[in-house]
Amino acid sequence: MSLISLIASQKIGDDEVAFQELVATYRRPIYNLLLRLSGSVQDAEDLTQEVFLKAFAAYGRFRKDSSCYTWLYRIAVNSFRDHLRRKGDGHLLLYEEPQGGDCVEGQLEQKDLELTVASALLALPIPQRLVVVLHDLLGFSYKEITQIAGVSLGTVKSRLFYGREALRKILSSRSAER
Amino acid sequence: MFRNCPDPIQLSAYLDGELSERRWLKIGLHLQKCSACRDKLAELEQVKKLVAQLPHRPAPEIRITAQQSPPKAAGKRWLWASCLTAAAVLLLVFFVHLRQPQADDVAGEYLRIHRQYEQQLAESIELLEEVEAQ
Repeated sequence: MSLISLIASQKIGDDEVAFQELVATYRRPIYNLLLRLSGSVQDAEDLTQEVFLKAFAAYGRFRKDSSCYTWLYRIAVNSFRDHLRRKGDGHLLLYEEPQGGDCVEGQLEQKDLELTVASALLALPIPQRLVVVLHDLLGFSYKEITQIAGVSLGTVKSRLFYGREALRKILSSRSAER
Repeated sequence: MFRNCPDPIQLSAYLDGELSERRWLKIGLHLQKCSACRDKLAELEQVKKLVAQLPHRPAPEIRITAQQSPPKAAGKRWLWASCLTAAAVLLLVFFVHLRQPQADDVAGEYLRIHRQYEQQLAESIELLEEVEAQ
């Protein structure tokens, strides 16, 4: 039974209706964060499911205010860290292309660029990858990232710079190889 | 880059508008006369744009079943039942103690025991709340 069906059958209350809104708002950015962090469609889907299950289980205890979304992203980041621990250090990070329809020429070029950038992201150390994805892809401010990643403002600044610099070098070397 | 050039970390923060107004102005003035820093800034900006252009993929359906939903009511009932049991046991012990012959300074001894039991009860409740929070 899906969450929507549960609400429809009136087995759950107001909290869960609010939670449903939370899912609708944050499902996509949480999934994309996890997709770019893990590089795996399957892992990102499983982790997204896990994040909302954890959030649902803790939702009653959580103070619902404007920081709700940072709380949700913190769950996502911690779930990803747990996932890495489960997978072990030997987990190979190669970007998996999500399945899509047929591409025309322009779209192929765009897909190629996406593949190159997404793969380059996976070559970054995880702390840098996290900050780059949170800021440059999802548009979080430095202050928000300190709350999500649990690091200081100075650390966010330096990780973002070194992450971008490393990405630039990876992308340059890959374009030189072609 | 030159000796008076800003730290590249600051350039990156400048790009994001994450500097104080004073520092932002200072770096802006420096950029007007330093082509090396302008080049560095352009490189960082290009990388930032490439990441920002990554498409946002549609997310999977989130499926939470009735079995997976949190047993909130059961959890609270368990907490109350545990607290009441703990309180009942402590009160029983306290009254059994009251009925036993006491030495001198009976009132003071009773007060001490009562406080001790109160403290134990408070600790039990705190422990149960911690367990439930986990």
